[in-house]
Amino acid sequence: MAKRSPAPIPSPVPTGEGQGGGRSQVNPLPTDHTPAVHVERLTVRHIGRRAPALRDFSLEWAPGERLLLLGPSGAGKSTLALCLNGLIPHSVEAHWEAGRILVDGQDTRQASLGHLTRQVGLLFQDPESQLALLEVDDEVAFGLENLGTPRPEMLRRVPAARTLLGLDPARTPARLDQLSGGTKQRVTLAAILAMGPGALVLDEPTANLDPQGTTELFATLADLCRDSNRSLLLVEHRLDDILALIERVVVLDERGTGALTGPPREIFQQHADTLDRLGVWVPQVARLGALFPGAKAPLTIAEAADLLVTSWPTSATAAPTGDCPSPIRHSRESGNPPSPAGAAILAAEQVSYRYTPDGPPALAAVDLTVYPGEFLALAGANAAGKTTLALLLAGALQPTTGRVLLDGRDLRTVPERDVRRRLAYVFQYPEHQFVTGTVQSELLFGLRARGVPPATAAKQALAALERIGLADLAAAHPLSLSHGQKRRLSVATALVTEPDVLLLDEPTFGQDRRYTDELLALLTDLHRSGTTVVVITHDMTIVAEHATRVVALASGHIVFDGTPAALFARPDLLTRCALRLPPIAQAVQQARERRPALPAVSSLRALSAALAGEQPSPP
Amino acid sequence: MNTVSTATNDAGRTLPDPTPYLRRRNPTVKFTVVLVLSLLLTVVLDPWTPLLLLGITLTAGLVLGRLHPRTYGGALLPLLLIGLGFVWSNALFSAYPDEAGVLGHLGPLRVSTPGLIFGTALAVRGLAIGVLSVTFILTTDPTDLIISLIRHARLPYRLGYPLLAAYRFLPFFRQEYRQIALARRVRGVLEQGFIWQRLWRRAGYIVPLLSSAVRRAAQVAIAMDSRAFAAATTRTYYRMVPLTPADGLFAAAAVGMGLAILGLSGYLGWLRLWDGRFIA
Repeated sequence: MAKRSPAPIPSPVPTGEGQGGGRSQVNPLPTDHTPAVHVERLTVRHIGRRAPALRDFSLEWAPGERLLLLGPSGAGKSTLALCLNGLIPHSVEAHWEAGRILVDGQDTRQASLGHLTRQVGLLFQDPESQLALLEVDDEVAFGLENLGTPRPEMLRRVPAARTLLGLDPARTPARLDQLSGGTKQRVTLAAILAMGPGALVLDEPTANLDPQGTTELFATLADLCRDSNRSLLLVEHRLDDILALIERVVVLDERGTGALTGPPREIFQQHADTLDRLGVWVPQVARLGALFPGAKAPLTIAEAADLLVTSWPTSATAAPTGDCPSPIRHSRESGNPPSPAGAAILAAEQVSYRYTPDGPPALAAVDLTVYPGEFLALAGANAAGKTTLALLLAGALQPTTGRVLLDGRDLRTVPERDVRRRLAYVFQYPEHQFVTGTVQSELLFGLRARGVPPATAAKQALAALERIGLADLAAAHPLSLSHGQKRRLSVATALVTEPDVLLLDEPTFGQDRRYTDELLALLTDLHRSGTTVVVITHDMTIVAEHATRVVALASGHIVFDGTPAALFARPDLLTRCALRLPPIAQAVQQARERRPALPAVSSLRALSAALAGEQPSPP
Repeated sequence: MNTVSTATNDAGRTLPDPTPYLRRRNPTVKFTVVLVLSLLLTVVLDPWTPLLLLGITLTAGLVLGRLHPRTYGGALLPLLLIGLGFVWSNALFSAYPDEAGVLGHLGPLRVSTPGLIFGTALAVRGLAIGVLSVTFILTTDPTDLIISLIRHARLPYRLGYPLLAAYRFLPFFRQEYRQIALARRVRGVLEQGFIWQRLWRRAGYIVPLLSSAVRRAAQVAIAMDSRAFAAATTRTYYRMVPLTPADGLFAAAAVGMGLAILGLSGYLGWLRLWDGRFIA
């Protein structure tokens, strides 16, 4: 494919075997050129779908402009990302029904993929499935090799890209399988930037990362934005950290049409209703605005702190401290571990677990007691032992040493059928959990195991399907569902057996706002009706707003067990467990430095309760 | 193990070379040598010739490849068990009509000397080929192998790179398999019943495993395309995998050694070549 671009990469010549050197360059990693991108009334439909993913969508993306793209799941955000660097139509087939995209005036359908990838770089969500090679240097060089870049030029660009993304060879393992998710994303970003694109599209780059990886990647992005005039289009839902980088927000509606566009302030302050209706994420601190009638929604943590300082009523007497989670089974004070309410339902006694006989222990002599009716959150960095602990509690793994008790009986002596009836576990990836060929039989499977008569089981299964909105798909294969639907089905299969304890591994990971809200509402209902809920989560907002108790793990040990508020008051532990304060808690903390009388709470719910307490007659 | 192999790919910088001799050899050359020696072995039906070659390969692996004996042990154990099976089955059941060859009786079974020798020959031959392959795998960096096959053996790069990407996914499959087993257990799929029932249940893992493999493969393919894979007519290479006269010397020496062993074995009267029959 012949292509000529304004890029300064010399045209392909036979590979030189030299030791670097050659032309001197002022900027070791040039941003070749920042393109102007015009999307004109684009309508694109995926193969086999009836409705277009993008419908009549237009966008002017000026050189150097930094955009945030929002929209509910299925709104065509990823489709747009694929179109912008030419993957649609050059690599992924789709029906291009109308419109065009011009990158620097050139129609993407006519330009070659090699040319387009040097203009617009694209980073995907999953760090595991966008790396093609085994070692960092090879991965970073891969795109350059594909473009036929002479080796002396690669010998300059590969180290430059590594430096730019903080991938110092002395401190980064050479092998990709030894890197964390956040570092893998930076490697991919280095590989993209080495090719010199002037525009970057990042499609939910942190959706699969833990808080540490997310922080790491956002810091990298902020550095990149500061040091260059690259254009940026970000699809992201953790908005509190990145909004400062964003110049303009573009919102897609569920039909794939542009609904709103404008500066962040305008979008989040004047169109909150539309965003809510669309089920689009907003900065968490923006929800503080709703507490104070007439106030503008704050967009940053600093603004939220200002709002609290200036607008919190002065009529306050003694400020209440501590969050008060809703269904209070055991009263407790902030900072103290929860006091037991009756007998434990589940208990781990000196439990250790090793995945391989001579490997390091994933869990080392852990004691944990779970009481009936708790909403317990398990938090900690990746590989801290959260999932191992939950699997041990659910009786899916057998402890290497120690024992797990269900109602005081060693799990090993309880019949498997009884264990399964009382404990349900929802895996992080729902695909693993499906055991039958249709959506309906997935639900029937659990009911049958519970001994429900067939006629009743069929009725209950149908009711459950209607509740999760999958009644139309009862006969479909579970693996043919969309990701969100799979998640709902996996939760429903666990719930239909009415377990006493429901354990969920990262249930909101990578989900859109609507699903997250629905799931949390469902969990809250279950919790109210007496189900014990154990959630593994990185999302500190869930911990702050919903958990009655949080257990934090680090390197296979429990390092904290107490209320969320008490955990948030321990910056040392948060750092050790790679956790971060939720944005609202950060705002409150900043505000309290200036107005110590403000309540020391960490959730919107607690703030709102405190406010209601102080304002007996709400306006 | 890759830290040593980076000596040749680390931006052309040459480190004071701690790399064992066998690791420094060109992967394509090594591959060819292993192939040729294995083919030689396939026509040998006596136990002594492969035993000689096995001994020499082991020594080369331990000395020239600086491999640990335990690594060999772990990799060869399954082959050893299969080999024992060969020995037994041939000793007991080989169709040897002559009562003269009978070594003894094991209950109703008859152990024949030619059968025992033939079985041992098959076992040792299998082991020798196994040691050759294991030595090759343990002394070769997978990326070097693919790049070398592309550059020195005309493997189309459109095939080579996807192979590497697939290789990367192997550990994921093991993980995924474990996850599926756990998830099914949690769902209440009980581990009981006869072996064939359990196997049938394992067969049920194939659908989710395949579905995730297909999804991953599609995602990687798109990610590779987004970095212009196969978009330009000329492709250059960052990693250098040298092919030097020393590799030619190695190949000549290794194949020469193989032929020499055959010659020696023939001279001593040990050698028995395949004559078209597969019996003792």
